[in-house]
Parts: sequence; C-alpha cells; structure tokens
Amino acid sequence: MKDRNEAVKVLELLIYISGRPLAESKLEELLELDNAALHEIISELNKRLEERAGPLFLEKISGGWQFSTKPEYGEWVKKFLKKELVLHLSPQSLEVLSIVLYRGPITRIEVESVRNCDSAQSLKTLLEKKLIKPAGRKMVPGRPLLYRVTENFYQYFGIQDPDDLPAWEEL
Amino acid sequence: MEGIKEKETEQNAAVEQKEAPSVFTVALDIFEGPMDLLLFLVEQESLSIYDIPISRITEDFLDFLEKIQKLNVEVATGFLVMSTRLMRIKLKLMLSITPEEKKEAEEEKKQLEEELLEYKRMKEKARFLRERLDQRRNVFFRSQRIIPQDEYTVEVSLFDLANVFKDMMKLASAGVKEILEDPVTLEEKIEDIRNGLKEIPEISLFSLWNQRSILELIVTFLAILELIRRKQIICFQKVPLGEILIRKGEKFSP
Repeated sequence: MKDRNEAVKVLELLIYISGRPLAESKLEELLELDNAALHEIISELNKRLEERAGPLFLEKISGGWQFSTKPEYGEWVKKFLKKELVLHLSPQSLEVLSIVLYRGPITRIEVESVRNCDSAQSLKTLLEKKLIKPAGRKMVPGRPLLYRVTENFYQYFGIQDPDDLPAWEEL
Repeated sequence: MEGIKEKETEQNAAVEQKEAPSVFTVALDIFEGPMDLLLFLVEQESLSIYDIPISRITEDFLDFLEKIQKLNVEVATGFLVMSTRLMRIKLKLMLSITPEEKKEAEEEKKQLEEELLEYKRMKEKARFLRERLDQRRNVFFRSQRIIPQDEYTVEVSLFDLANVFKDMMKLASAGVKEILEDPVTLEEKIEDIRNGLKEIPEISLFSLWNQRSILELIVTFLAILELIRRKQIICFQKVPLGEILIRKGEKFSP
C-alpha cells in the first residue's frame, strides 16, 4: 500500500474488525508492507489515537495488535454488559496457571509434582475459562494430556510477548 | 508458631464471611499441600531455602500437624508423606557414619530444597500473574467477531463433497444387497431438490442421502453437482467442519 495516510486508516479498520489480536505477519500481507513500513504505520496510528484522546488504545498482545479500552472507561463496559466480567481466579488456579505458562506443554501429574497437591479442579476451571487448552498427549504410558496457555490468556493478562515474562528462576 | 495462629485466625474470619462450613477445615485450607506449609515455616523463621536446618523444620512441621490433629482435622496424606520424608532425612543425617551415607543424606536434603525452591518460584510467578490481572481489571477488548455466527458461512469445496459422498457410499453399500433397476433420472432428482428448497430454505446434505438404492444415491450426488454448476444451489457450512447444508443459489429460478 503506497498511500501512507490511507494505510493508517486501513490498519485501524483491520484491527477494529478482527476479533482477536491481529498478527503482524497477517497485517504485512494484507497491507502489502514490509515489517519496517508496518511499524511506521502502527506508530502513526498510535500517534493519531493519542491525539484523539479517545477511550481506546492500541496494544500488542503476543505478537498481534488489538484495541483495548483504557481502564478508566472500564465501568462503562461493565454497565453495558450488565455483569461483572472480571476474571476471578483462586490462588490455586493462578499457581497452576503459572506452572502451565512456564512449563507447558505439561501434564496434570507434572503440575501436581511442583505443587505437591491435587490440581485437577484448578485445571478444570482454567480449561472452562479458556485460559489453558489441551496440546496433544505425552508419549508416556497412559498418554496423558498436555496443557498449554491460550491466546486468550495473553489477552486477559495483557502480555505483549512471552519473552517479556520474568524468568522462572527470578525470585 | 505464632505466625500460624495468626494465619489461622485470618482464614477463620475469611471462611466465616463466606459460609462458615467447618472452622476446622481451615488450617489445611490455608496450606495447600505440604510444600506450602514447609515454605511458610522456612520463611517465617527467615531461614535459608538453600540450606534448611532439617531438624528444626521437622520439629516445626510435626508440631503443626499435631496441633491440627488435636482439632480433629483429618490430615491430607500429602502432609503425612512429607513429615515422613523430613524425619527420614533428619535421621539419615544424624545416623550416617560412612561418607557414602552422609552423601546420600545430603543429596536427599538437596532434592527437597530444590523442590521447595521450585515451589517458591511457582508462587512468585502466581503473584506476578495476580498483579497483572489486577492491573487489567478494567481493560476490555473485543473477543469475538462482529459478524454474527449464523451469517458466517464457510464455502464447501468439491473435495469436501466427494468425501461426504464416499462416506455415504460406504454406509449405503453395507445395507444394500442387490441393485435393482431404478427409474429415477437426473432431471427428476434435480426437480426433487429444487422443490425441497422452495419449501425449506436450508437442507442438510445428509438428509438427501436417505435413498432406496446406491444408484439413486449416485443420481442424487450428480444432481447436486449439476445444481452447483448451474449456480442454482450453494453448499455451505455454518462452522468449519460443520454439517454441510444447501441453500438457493443466485440463479435459482422458481
């Protein structure tokens, strides 16, 4: 895409229409731009959004781009949806989630060996909330399911890039 | 052991706020598993996780178990397993005479310390996730397509159709023993399908396979291909890999 001004608008359109973080590779393909040019367009859109001072901001989630609401407008979203949409997770589920995040794909037994206690219920909750998903089976007797985190997880926790997570060894 | 008392009381209060099922399940609720208790004991006394004074920790651990057992709490097996493990390490350290025995005991202790360290790391990451989640409490984003699900269709390829046909032939040939002369012609079948679509907007492809003979099945399939070619019908799916449906195409004439 040659027209820079138009490209910024189309970028906004595409991110708006996509229901999930839109991968940069996909954007490059759609806009017919290389990565450097795409980044220029993205920062231009960011600039325009800032000038507009609207309720949305552009954010990067696990390698893709999406619009998110600024926290100060969260109340209105809740009012509109008429229910508390906040994700509630027990400390146990968060522990299990952190193991799956850092050590996934991982089996239930392996999760339990880190926590030294039963984790089936937490895994079930996390599956229901679509924060983790099965990722094949481990080739050991019994062929247990392996779990990993979902794209949803990165969205909910606002994690831009898995590489940005604090190291597991860090205390 | 003052720390534990405080923690218990805190937890008691929290439970009572909820539904107050049984006050006595509390002590174990708060320490989810033996590692949790162990880590608490180590941190409470500001001990080094890299070199746990086994004898002191074992004592603390057993003290705690005894205390909760007095409250008639059934102790989860994991806690008992851990206390046995602690005692074994303690004994081995005390009783080992030869350098090999000593080394073995040290290794067992090291293994426990490593597990505890791993546990602490996990706790730390869970805390990080909690903070992250709290920061995101009021941030929302689109999580679904604005295109309503029922208008979202997937085009069916000839390959998909052929696959369905193959499956159907398999099913049909299992039940049919003899092929009789069949009077059904392609034109008749085409009319059948067209008439069907005049009454019902969407017909499941599957329902069309319910035929008397293999020949009729083949004729039906040919009729569908012909109708697609004439653009009188469209084959589609509401979701990828969903049921194949047919509906009127752009050149469907009444």
